Amino acid sequence: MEDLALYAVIAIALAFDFTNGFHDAANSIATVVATRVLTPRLAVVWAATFNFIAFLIFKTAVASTIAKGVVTQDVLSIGVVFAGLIGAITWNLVTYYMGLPSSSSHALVGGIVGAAVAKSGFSAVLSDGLSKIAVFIVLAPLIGLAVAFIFMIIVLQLAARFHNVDQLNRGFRRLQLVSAGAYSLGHGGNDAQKTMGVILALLIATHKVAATSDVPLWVVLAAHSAIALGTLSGGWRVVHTLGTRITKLQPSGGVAAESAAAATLFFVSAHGIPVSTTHTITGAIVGVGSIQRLSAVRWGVAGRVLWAWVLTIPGAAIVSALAYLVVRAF
Amino acid sequence: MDRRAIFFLGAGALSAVIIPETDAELRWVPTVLAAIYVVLAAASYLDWRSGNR
Repeated sequence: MEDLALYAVIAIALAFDFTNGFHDAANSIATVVATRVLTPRLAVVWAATFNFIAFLIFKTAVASTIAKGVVTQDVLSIGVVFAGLIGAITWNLVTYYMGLPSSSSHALVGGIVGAAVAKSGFSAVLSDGLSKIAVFIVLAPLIGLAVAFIFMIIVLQLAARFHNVDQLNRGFRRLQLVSAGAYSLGHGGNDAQKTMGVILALLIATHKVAATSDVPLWVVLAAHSAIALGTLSGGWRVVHTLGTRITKLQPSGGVAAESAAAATLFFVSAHGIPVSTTHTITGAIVGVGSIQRLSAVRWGVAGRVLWAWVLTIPGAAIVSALAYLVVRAF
Repeated sequence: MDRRAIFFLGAGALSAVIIPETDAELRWVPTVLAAIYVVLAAASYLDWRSGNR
């Protein structure tokens, strides 16, 4: 019976990864679509491919943080992880239908924390691990913004020396394929690992693997497949918000934004920090937009995004805490 | 007044506030970021001032 419950929750974790695909992964291609370098259909295939092959490049430090660094190991059970996933998925779906680019990653962290607190109180929370994640909730978009701004200064300096504008634009359009691919790699490397972390936590809780164990290969492949399939399924509402409504992008801006966000994601993944890919690319897009003037950034939309960010962890935590209480009643 | 410089100064201040909350191993990240934002704020202000002359 326990095995059946375990497989069912693993399936839900992969479904969460899939929803992450259509909710978050679409951000990978927002700028490529906005600058019309690729059609939406091709862009989605491009992003999904790089999401999938990210497992060849990144280790599993982020997965270990999720499995072992957010709540104490003894509180983890099939019920807690199940309730955490329900909270995160519910939050993702609500914000998806509202067209809000909130963070699946923070929904997941909030979901697990909420369910763990409902089971054992606040002593179940590992404050060091949670504060590391919380610090980078703020830092990731700030890094993306600063790096994108600096990249844009370099791009504009290069452009000023170039007299053939059409040729320059063609060059940037080609470069955007590379930067979008790099960003999708970074995204797959960070986001798919969160699901790996959840599954690893389940396997440890049910004693299928040792507490010191690394992520099994089948879990790595399953998580990357799920996120890639989710990306293939779309997520156009969020693409539209990020790609066209925060600021209007040219190919050069797309290259700068994606490269900055990719560099940020490569860095945090190497340090095992789960961050929001949505936060990171939004920060980078704002950085590109503000190279001209701050009024180029549509702050009303950015503010709406900010509210979704602020509410995500507590919102998902409350939903998952309620879900845990229901699970326990049965 | 140059709103972009104020925005960058705010981002720098936020990065600086986070420094003590960050793991010792990664404390250099918000420190460098705060310094970058201060430089960007200064550059933005100088750019704005030269544009208004």
